[in-house]
Amino acid sequence: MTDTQTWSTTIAAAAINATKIYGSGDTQVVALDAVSAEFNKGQFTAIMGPSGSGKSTLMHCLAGLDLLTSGSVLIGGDDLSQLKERDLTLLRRDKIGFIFQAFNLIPTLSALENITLPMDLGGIKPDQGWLDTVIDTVGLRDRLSHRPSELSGGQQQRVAVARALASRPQIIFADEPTGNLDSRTGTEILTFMRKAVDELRQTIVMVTHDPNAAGYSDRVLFLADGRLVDEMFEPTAAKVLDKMKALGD
Amino acid sequence: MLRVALKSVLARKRRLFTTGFAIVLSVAFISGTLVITALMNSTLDSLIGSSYDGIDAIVRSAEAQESDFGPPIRPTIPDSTLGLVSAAKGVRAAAGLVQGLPTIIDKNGDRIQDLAGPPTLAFNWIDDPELQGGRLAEGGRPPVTPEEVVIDVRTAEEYDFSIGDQVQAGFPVGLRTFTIVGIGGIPVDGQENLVAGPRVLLLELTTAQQLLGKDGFDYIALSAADGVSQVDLQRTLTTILPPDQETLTGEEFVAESEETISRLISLFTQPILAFGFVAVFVGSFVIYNTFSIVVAQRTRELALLRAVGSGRGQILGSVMVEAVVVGLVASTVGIAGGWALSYGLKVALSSSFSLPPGLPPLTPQAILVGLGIGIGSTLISAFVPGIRATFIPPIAALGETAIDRTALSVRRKVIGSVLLLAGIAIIALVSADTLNWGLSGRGFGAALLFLGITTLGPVFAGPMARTLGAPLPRFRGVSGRIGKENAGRNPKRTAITAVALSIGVCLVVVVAIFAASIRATVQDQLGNQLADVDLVVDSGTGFAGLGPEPREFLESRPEVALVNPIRFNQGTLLDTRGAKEDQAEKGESENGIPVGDSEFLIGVDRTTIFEIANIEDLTPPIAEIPDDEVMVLAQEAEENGWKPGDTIRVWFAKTGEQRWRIAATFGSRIGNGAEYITNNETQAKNALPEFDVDSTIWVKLQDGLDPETVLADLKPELKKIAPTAGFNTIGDYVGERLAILDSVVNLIYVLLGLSIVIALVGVGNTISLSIHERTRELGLLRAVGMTRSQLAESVIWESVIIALAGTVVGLVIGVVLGTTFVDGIDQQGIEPVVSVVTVAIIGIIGAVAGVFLAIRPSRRATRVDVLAAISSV
Repeated sequence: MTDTQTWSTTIAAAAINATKIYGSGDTQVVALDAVSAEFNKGQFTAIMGPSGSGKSTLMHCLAGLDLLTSGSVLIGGDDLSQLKERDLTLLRRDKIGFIFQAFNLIPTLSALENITLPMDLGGIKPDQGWLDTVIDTVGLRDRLSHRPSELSGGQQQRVAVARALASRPQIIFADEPTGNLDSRTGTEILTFMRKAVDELRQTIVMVTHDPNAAGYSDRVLFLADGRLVDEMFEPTAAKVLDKMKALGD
Repeated sequence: MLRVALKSVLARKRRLFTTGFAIVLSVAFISGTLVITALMNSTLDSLIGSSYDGIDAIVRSAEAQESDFGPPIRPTIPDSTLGLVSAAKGVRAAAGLVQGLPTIIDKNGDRIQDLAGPPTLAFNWIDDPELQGGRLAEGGRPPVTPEEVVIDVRTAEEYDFSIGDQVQAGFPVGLRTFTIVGIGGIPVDGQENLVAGPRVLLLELTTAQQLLGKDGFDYIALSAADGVSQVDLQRTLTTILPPDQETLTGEEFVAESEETISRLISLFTQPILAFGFVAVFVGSFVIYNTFSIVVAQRTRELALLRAVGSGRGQILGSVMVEAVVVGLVASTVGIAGGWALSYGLKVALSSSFSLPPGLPPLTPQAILVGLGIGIGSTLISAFVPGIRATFIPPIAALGETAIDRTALSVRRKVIGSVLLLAGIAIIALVSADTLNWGLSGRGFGAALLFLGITTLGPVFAGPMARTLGAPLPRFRGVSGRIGKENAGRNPKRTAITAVALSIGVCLVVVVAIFAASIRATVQDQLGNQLADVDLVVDSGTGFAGLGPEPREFLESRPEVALVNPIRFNQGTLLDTRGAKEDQAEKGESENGIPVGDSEFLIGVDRTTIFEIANIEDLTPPIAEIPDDEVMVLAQEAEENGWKPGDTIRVWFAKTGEQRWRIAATFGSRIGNGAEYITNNETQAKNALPEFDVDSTIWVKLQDGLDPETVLADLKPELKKIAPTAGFNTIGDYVGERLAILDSVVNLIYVLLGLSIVIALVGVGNTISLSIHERTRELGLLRAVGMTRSQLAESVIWESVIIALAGTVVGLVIGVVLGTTFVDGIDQQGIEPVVSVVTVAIIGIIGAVAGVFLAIRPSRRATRVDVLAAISSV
């Protein structure tokens, strides 16, 4: 990157001509077809698209969980395709936060241990002030010593949000974070994510097929057949729903 | 349904392998032992059959002295009996036979001794080919003069003797030199090649009688005239023989000899089989656990089968089919392995027994027992998990994979606690002598203790894993914490895995305590009580005893202060408590032989013994053991209600009933540990020729002489006049005994190692199945930034904790049981000794094994595909 200054100040992550091809010959499937996108710091981006559009693949590649066939992904100045397996793992640990749809927590660890897990793995002492802020933001203060099995689904997902925030990562990826929750708890989680962006200046990229969820974001990227087909700023659930219908979901 | 079950097995070949491994090992062990036992039995049977082939009847003394070393020993029958039976109707030929135990000296002047296997035999040549079992190889002839001998083919080959060579051999009367005039062997099953039985020296009759100290024959072998059956011959003989002689048909004689041999073989094979069964027992824990996990993993699949209409019986059937397949495949592999193992055993035994070349024949018994045990133990172990599988509700097909989270029932806690406490209470009461249940009481207590621990295991497992792992989070961070938590996560699984290991470890510790205790006792008995003994002359592993030469030589030397020869004998005590119980049951005598306790007696020099040995608590203090008097171990006297001055009755085949006055009692065993000590004259008077020899000689040197130096001076001369004897300083002698003990103990460790290996494989099994179950969790950990090495480490810690838990429990129970058992046999004068070093080593091995076993599963854990693991259900 020629302009590192721009990187550190405005862009958290970027995909450049991101292409992912599964299989070869007759069974070849192009999951991502030269997708380019930038994700600004302090922005809440939703990625939408019908099933098989490549939205999950894009997120997995952005998050360093999967490797591109060609093109590159940049996170905080690192080109992921240039990193070794171990460095990718450390990048995930130190610079990326994750919120998954289900099975988000380690059942044998307490809520607090789950929240500090990435930092514990790196042997990093959590910033207590920030940790307190995060815990209070998601409202988990009185649940910290509980095991996941003693928490409700919504509480578990709040722990997951707190974990993603706790290490103050460059960027947080959320994969259908409300997919397994009822609408009330889903709303609660989305509100926390919104708060994290507005009040804690975090960067979130969320994959979802729920227009309501997308309505909480700043920007929506629409994917179809592995291509970036549209972009919408300041979305609302209704506008997103119309767009999705147009895309034929 | 059968097809579903079979497909399930085939789809998971690796699981089949891990489950089957325990069975393969234990079945191999058992079948291998059975194969080699059968081979030894059949080889020796055909050897006996061939050598006694032409014998139609034998005549021998009806009296017999029971012996701890083998078949009963009988007095001789007079030469005149030969004349009597030779003239009887229906007898074609008769010949008298004497036999004894010589020691052959090799060409380097060293005694030939086998560590295991039959003793070397000497007997007389018989001219009649029907009655003479052996054949001479080409070029040989029978011994005719007192200086001539025939030796067996094996000794000739191994020690490079040929016809015309000189050979030395030791006899009770002393050392003799012979010229080899023939080499002999037994033509088994009509084979051309002569096969050797035991090592043999064949002598001319009167020479044999004189050298072996026999004034008649051990038995007379007869061959019947044409048309006279064995039974007819026996009937004729019975009518003419005096009542103190008996006759057996040739068939009976062969059967009796075969039984004696197979009893000797089973002395060697039974313990090995026992270890095989321990391995099966430990293996069933492993199998039980594997099947439990497999059922848990297959919950959704089984629930789906239930949902689409499978009955409970079919579900159970599918689990049992898997068990049968696993059992069948593993047993088959195990039997093949056992067959290979038997070949190894054969090679190991080849120095002691001459067995036919090639792979031992696989017997139907080995196959059937192997299959039965392999399939049986798998079925039994899989039954409970199978039953549990039938309780999976169809609805489980729709949910997440369920892990066995059933709570620990109150009933389990109550029953477990009761068993455990009862076990402890019984052991405590028996140890405190409040309960008089003896060793079997302790064994019963131990069994209850084990059952209690197995039942309570799941209750202990969680807290124990967390306690053992407590320091981990501090030292090893998240990896340590996750390892610790996972070890205690499924207490039932952890408990069963660990208990299997505990059993093996416990047995090793018990053996270690026994060994350490015996060691300490040997050191005490030989080292401290014989502190004034400087040199020891012994007859080695043979049963031949020492000739008179070493004693005479030592007595003539100026360096020597005292010489105390030790003799052994067997006698039948008629007045012990045990003897009285037997007499009440069987009567005063059985087949003309008095009923009593066959005991080991030792003879010592009547006076020097008190100068050379530190005899503890001698009551009353005496300075001489008079003729026909006996010193008795105080504890033995007390048990039988005897005190010094009482008279006890002892029966000997040679002299009949003797009355001995108890001269004194003594506190603890000396030297080789007999409970009854007489003087050597009394011993000699009552001993059959087999026992009428010095076995060991204790030597005290003049004050101020260094035993090493004197030994070095005396050795060349001693070796020349008594090559059959071993000469050592007391220190080396004790060292040699301890080395023999150590090698036995090491063998037991190796045999028990099998069970421990199986249990450890179980630990590895549990870990890898647990990992399989936690794929998603592992994926999540990797996704949020756990490195491969951190993940591997957490798996290793989990394994270490489980292995350590099993080891620690095994150590604790082992120490308790070992101590109580050793304490229970204190009649043998052994005090329990716990070696801290051994215990520590076993603990460390347990932990290291945990690391080792986790390497493979942990590697697999690190290869989890993160994306596949975390993508939505």
